[in-house]
This record gives sequence, structure tokens and C-alpha cells, in this order.
Amino acid sequence: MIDLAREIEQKKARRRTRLLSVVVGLWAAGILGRLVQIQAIQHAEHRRQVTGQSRRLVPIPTERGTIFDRNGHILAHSVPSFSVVYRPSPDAPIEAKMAPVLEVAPVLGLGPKSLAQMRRQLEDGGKFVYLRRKVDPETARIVRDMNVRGLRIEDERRRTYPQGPLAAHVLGGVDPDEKGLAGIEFRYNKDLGGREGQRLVLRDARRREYNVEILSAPKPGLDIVLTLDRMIQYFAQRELERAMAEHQAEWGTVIVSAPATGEILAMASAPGYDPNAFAAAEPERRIDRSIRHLFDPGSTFKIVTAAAVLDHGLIAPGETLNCAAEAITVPGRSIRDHKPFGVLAFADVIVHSSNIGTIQAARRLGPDLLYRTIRDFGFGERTGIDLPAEAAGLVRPPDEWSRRSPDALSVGYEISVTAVQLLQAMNIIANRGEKVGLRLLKSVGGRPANPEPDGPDSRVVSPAAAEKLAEILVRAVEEGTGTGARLPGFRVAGKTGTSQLLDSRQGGYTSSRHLAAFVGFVPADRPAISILVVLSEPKNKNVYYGGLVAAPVFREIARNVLRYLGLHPQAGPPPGAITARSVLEARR
Amino acid sequence: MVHKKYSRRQILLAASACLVVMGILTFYLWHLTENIRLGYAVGRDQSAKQRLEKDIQSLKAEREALSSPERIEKIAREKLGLGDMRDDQIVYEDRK
Repeated sequence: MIDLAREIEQKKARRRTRLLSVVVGLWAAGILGRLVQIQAIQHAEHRRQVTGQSRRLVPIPTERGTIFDRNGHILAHSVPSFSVVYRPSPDAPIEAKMAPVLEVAPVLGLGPKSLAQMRRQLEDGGKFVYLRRKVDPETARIVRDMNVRGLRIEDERRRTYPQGPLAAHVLGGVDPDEKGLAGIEFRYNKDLGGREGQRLVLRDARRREYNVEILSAPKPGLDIVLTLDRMIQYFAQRELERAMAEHQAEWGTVIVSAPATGEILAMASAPGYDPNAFAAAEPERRIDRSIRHLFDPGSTFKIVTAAAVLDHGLIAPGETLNCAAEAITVPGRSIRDHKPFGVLAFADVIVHSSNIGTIQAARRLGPDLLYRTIRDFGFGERTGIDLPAEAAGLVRPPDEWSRRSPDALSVGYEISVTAVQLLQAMNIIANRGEKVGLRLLKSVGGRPANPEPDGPDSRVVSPAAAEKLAEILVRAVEEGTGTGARLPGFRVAGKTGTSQLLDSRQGGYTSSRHLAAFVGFVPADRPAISILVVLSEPKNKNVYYGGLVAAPVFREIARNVLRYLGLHPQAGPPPGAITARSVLEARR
Repeated sequence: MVHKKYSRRQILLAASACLVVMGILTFYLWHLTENIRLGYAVGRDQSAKQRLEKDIQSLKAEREALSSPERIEKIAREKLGLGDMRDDQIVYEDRK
């Protein structure tokens, strides 16, 4: 009986167990089925939904290359910056759309004009509005902390020029998207710009990144090293600005180069601008006068005429010319000297910058030889300097000349040149007849921009003729029109120039507006630097001669640059002067 | 009704199999969570690295601006009262 009862109990238990197993089995099968449905059947749909919410393709901004001077000082650099962007709810009324904008307006300094413009954009259905671009990190942090709906802070980069207006015209400038607009920034935009990358970011519900995958790595822009020297650029720019203020000139330019290598050490134009605010600068200030402005070189051009006659043996430095006449008649007009000279040796003609003597000497050349020499010196074609929009100048061929053209050309009229062309011409004399191309770039992305010149580009003038002319130019500074450029302890070679400017209303040259210039090199025997100074329309106290206006600027720049380069005056210390050496010797 | 009796060995094997499966599942879950935890850590470190790189770039530009010749000359003239050297104030070493 007891066994029967136990058996019945066991049966009941087994039945319950089976029932429970079936229920659990069904429950497990249900879960498994649902799992299969979600993971297998609806996999693609769920994956799309999840990744759509958590996955984001984020561009990796590339870094624009840095521009350095020859000593590794940063001239242009990109730094992190932020932009505040607003994405409104598409269906919200305009007042609701504007509310977040008005909330952050005081922090971002948005004025009524900007707010009105944004309102118009939102009314037109704009889905994306930049509230402010390139804000500093502190402002970005404040806006982020305000946690305003629809507002987002986006990482950006801002181009900065830590040296301010230094070398502004060489560097140029960029737009808000860091695209080069002028200067080196424009010319080498592709190299500097690099290529943007892309990364896949997975975020959780709290927008925390938990997986980042780089899909394509950004290609950073290449760094560029210029031949400019920050200190020399500073000296050039400072002295140019001082002269501009002193003489109330309209514009001016200074270029400093190393003649042997053709490297530009400084290139300054005035009026200038700050590339940090490129868009705000007046267009007139952004013109690079050293490569774009054309002018008649006046007497500085006599170096070309003198080189030609000396090179072809048409005159000797000691040969005399009668410069006693008040003026020399050229077809259609007469050309005068700035003072009467009498009989001058040809060397003195250049030393004292006699127009009458120069024209007499040039007449021995003939038009073809004069034209060929002018072209050999590089006038009428671009120097090929690494800057955009260089002007080629204007040199008409002999078949377009008038009867007075050869005379006018020999003293620097009826020809338009750029400042770089004039400096290149003087460098030919400094290099004793060899032409070495001017260059501004040392390297791009670590690779030399131009191979180091192993030899001169071409010979323009014989070494003997160039040597004779260099000696004449030393005398021009020591006793001629260029005494303002005299530098104690150094032999300076140079030539002054004062040219009348063209008056478009009168249709000819005017005697009331002038361009003052000086171009030279120092030390004359082994030139370390060559400098060109041009100042247009100096007005102060009617002083407009190149020797009075431009030569002193040359002297001050040369003084500072030579000291900076460690080139000491060739003359020894004055007798009795206390020097480190004399003190050491006295102690012994 | 005759019930099959499982031997101890069979029970032990089944228990071991269950333990192994549970162990594998536990390891898999641990691996997943650890992966995500490390993902967060990498994300944080990458953000920190980016921040530091940005700081370095800003500091480099700031250093250049602070050492610009114009600023140094201004300080020398206005704060230190220095001026341009005259030629007679400079004595060059007589190099032999």
C-alpha cells in the first residue's frame, strides 16, 4: 500500500517535471527564436539602426604646413581653433530657432547685423549656421559649458603669423578655410595644404567614444623653409618704415640678397599689412611692390649702360667726355644734368651720374647692342622668383623704338622694371659678371627647393669689365652721388637713381613727382649682401634725390645686417682703443 | 517503470561540460566588456593626446610671437631704456 502511494506521488512529480520542462523549453525556444530573429533575420536592419545612432564618419583635419625662415623661426603656422555651429530643429518656429542664437550672442559678440543675417538664413530654411568661426579655446569652453540645444563646437585650425606684419607680402595670407590667397601661401597652397583624413567613431548613448578606427590617415601639408632671415627682414622693414614716415613717401620697397647664391634675405614693401588680418587689409596695402610695381629705373640703370660699353671695349674708365653743355639734345627734347660738370672721365660720369656723359658713351653702342645687353641683364622677363604675379617689366624691341629711345634708355627712361629685376642686375656686377637667379625658397617638405647652384647661371659681362664697374661704383659712394650710403670701415659699391614719374593726365614725365632709388653691395671686394631701396614720391622738404632719400636707408640696413652677420669693419680699431685682445695681452 | 541511473562519472562529465561552457561564456563576456572598457580608455587617451598636441602648437606660435624682434626692441627701448649703438661705442676685436 505504501509502495503504491509512493509510486503515485512519483508519477505526479514526473508529470510536473515534464510539464515544467516543456514550459521552460518553450520559453527557451521563444527566446532563442527571438534571438535568431534579431540577430539573424533582422540583423541588417538592426545594424543599420544602431550604427546610424552611434557611428559617425569624422573628417580628420590635416595640418597646414609651417613656413619657417632660414634659421627655423616660424613665420606662418596653423594652431587649433574652434567654430560655433548651430543646427536648428527643422520644424520649430523662427522665434524658437533664434532663441539659442540669442542666448550665446553676448558671449560670441554677435551684433545686430550678424543676428539679422542669421535670422534670414534660418527663415530661408538653413539647416546649418556658423555663429562664429575661429574662436579662442576659452570662448569655446564657455559656449560648451552653456550646453545650449542645437549648438556644437567644431574643431578647426587658424593660420597665425607670430611675427605680425614681418614679411607680410612674401607670406601673403589665407581665407577662413586656410586656402592661400597671396604670396607663398598662394603659390605653394597645394604643398602646404596636405590632404584631409577620415575616421570611424563609435559612440555610446552618452556620446562617449568607445571605438575609433582610422579609415584614411590625413596627409599633413609640407613645411616650407624660406631663404629669408627674420632679423634681416626686421632691419629692412624697420628702416623702410622709418624712411616712409620721414619722407612721407607713397610707397617703398627694400630687398636684401646674398649675391653669390641669389638668396633673398629680406623683402619688404610699404605700406604693409598684418597677415593675421588679411581680409581686413586694404587691397592697396596688399600689393607686393618688390615684384609687381613697375617704374622707370632712372640713373640706377646706368650700371647696365656702363657695363655694356666697358664690356665691349667701347670706352675706357679714364677716357674723357665733354659734359660741359647745359643739356644734350635728343630727338624731340633735351636731357640735362642735375648740375654742370665740364669735362669728365667716363668713370666720373658714372660716379657723378651725368646724363650727358652717359648718353654720349651709350651712343657708341648702337640700338641692337644696347637692347641685347638690357635683355641679358634680365629686364623684360620675370626673374622666376618663387612668388605669384611677378611682373615681367616692359622693354620694347628696337623696331618699336623712337629716335630718342636709345638715349632715353641709356639713362633709365622708356623702360619699366621691377625692384627684383634691378637688384638682379646689380648682383651681376657684384658677382663680377655672372648672373645668379634670385630665389626665396630653401626647401619644401625637407627637399631642397632649388638645387644649390654649383656654378653661375650665365655670364653677362666679362669679369674685367665688371671689376672696373665695381670700382667705379665704390667711388660713386665714396665721392659721388651716393655718399649717403658710405659706411665707415667698409667699401660700399652702389648707384643712386632719381627718376621722374609718368603723369597719365599730362601724358609724359612730370618734374613734380619723383622716385628715389639706391642699389648697391657691400663689401665691394667680396660682396656679402646687396640691397635695393626704392621710395616713390618722397615729399618731405622737397628732398627727393636717391642719394638723399634712399642711400641713407641702404646705409642703416647695411650697418645692422653686417653687424648681425658678424662682418666687422675692414679697418682696424682706432689706435689706443681698448679691445679684449689688448686687455688679455696686458694681463700677460 | 525503470529509470536509468546515471553513473557518477557521467554526472561529473556533464557538470564539467556545463562548467566549461559557462567558463567560456564568462570569458567571452569579460572579453567584450574589457574590450569596450579599453575602447573608452583609448578614446580618452586619444583626446588627451590631441589636446596636448594642440597645446604644443599654440605654445610654439606663442613662443615665436614673444621672441619677435619687434617685441624685443620695444621692451629694450621702453622698459630697459636702451637705444641704438653709435659707431664709436663699438670696438671690434683686432683679428690677426
